[in-house]
Amino acid sequence: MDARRETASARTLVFSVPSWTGYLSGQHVDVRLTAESGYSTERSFSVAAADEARCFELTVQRVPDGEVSPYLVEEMAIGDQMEVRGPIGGWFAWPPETPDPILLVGGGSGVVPLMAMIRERGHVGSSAPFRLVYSARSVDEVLYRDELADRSATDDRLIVDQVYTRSAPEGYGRPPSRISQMDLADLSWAAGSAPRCYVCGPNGFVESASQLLLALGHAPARIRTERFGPTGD
Amino acid sequence: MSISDGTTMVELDQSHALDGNAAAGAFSVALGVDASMIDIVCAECGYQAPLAEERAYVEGPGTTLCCRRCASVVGRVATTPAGTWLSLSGSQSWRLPPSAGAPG
Repeated sequence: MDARRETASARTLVFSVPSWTGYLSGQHVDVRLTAESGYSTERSFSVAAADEARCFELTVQRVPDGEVSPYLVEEMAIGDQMEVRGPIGGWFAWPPETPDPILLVGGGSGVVPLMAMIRERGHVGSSAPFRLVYSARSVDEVLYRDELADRSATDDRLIVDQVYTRSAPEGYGRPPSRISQMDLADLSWAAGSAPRCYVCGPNGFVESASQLLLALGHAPARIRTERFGPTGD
Repeated sequence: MSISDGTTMVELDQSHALDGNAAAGAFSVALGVDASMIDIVCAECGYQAPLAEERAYVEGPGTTLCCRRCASVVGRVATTPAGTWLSLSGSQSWRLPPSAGAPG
């Protein structure tokens, strides 16, 4: 239906679907691609945005040697079709009626379902306090940079904190390094305010970020995680 | 390790495990409800967790779900031309919450 480039290795694809019901932000869809030979393969992708009218967006990061993502990022053309199952799952999802503060921790393209929650919060007019701690390798790899800046500039209950792991822009206060306890302690609310935490990213990132949250005193039951595999940053 | 007929046994590599949420779609289709919130009790160690928080291996033929604590298999689902195969062996119980409703 539509497509736009986000970074050198990621793009957002907009799909129209005949039926799209029960969407909650944070959910994913299963995508099945079938080759002419009959070989087919399936992968899950987080929904980046959706509206009630029959369309949704995926932001896909190209995984080198991946079976599905290179096609979605480089080849799929407007008008092409694919088989999709979803939206799936009520677990890693933000219930829009909750007033609870929300702490979002994303690594790399793990920011995609978290961005869906931020967009949905704006869409439904929720005033729940949101804070996003977003780890990316460098400025060039930050997804939704302008939109995040715009949204946080006009909404004092939405805070976006960027962590760079490989190279930070000149003058950026924090030297590049992996996310640390201090990042989450300094940048996010204290555990005493009991936010719901959503952590999404590659396996190693989610593992360390959730350990850091536990060490800071967040209750295990308040932390929901989504690991999307061993690759990425 | 190699076996005499030339096949190779490989261990499930935990670094490739995803959260069970990635398997929710496959199990939702087989069960007809939103599977992500189903509470599973492991038959091996008794650990209870929502499906979304177990370990999922989705790269094989079919999808395998393992206990987050002891790594025992608690469920498998695979779709073949002959139909969808579902095995809950390895689990003690699957509790579908009242809100599970239709598949997501």
